[in-house]
Amino acid sequence: MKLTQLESTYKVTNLLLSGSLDITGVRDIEMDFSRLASGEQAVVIDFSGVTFIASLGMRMLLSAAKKLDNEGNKLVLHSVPPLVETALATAGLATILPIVKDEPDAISLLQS
Amino acid sequence: MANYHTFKIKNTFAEIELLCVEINELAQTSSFSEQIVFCLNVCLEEMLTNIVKYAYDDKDKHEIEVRLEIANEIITLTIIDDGHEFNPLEADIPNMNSDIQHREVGGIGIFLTCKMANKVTYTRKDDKNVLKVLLTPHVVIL
Repeated sequence: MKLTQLESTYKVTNLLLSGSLDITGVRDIEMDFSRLASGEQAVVIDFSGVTFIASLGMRMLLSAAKKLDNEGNKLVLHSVPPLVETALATAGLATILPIVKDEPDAISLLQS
Repeated sequence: MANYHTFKIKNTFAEIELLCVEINELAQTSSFSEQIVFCLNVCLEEMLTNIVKYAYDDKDKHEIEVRLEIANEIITLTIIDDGHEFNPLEADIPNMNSDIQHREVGGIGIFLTCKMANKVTYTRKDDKNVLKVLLTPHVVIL
């Protein structure tokens, strides 16, 4: 599992996740992820390289989203592969973690 | 013709990780769709994690048996543990309507497994929990 911080011209933390968010994947990145998504500014995550997610990975996202929400910020996912999106929707997370098509849509959502 | 595979692991996260890698390698050599492999992984990770976290009332080592039966593109996953009696099918369904601050992920694992599998059955036999998960190419969620 790999977590990369990308540059952004907007005031957001722009992240790219790739690999499997299974037990091993979550363990690999959760400390860095928690530090980067600590609440001060909105977080946009490119999910295009994520091949798997289950409740451990969802717990990591939800925990970050709650911290961000406390500061009036959002966590937005984009470019989510269909199976991963289905898993998030099945777990009821699609209603509280915005999922959009691509990065420009994520920025538009945050600016609206 | 059916293929049978039996795995025995100890109740640690490290052993779950190794088992998932092994089962994935096995799935790669079969002609399963991406979605059935995805669902198999969700069921494996969720059910085994629950057992390691909650099934035992002591800190001893325990053996968990995982059986995989593959026949006509249908996967039957059976997980047997000697933890205390627990029927996951009777677990509370998480509240999907609460707002972000009140949303809990607890309970989601069992819920996801039941949604992604075609059928989940539970029996208590010889002081063991026996969970059987059936996955077919026509996965329910999609």
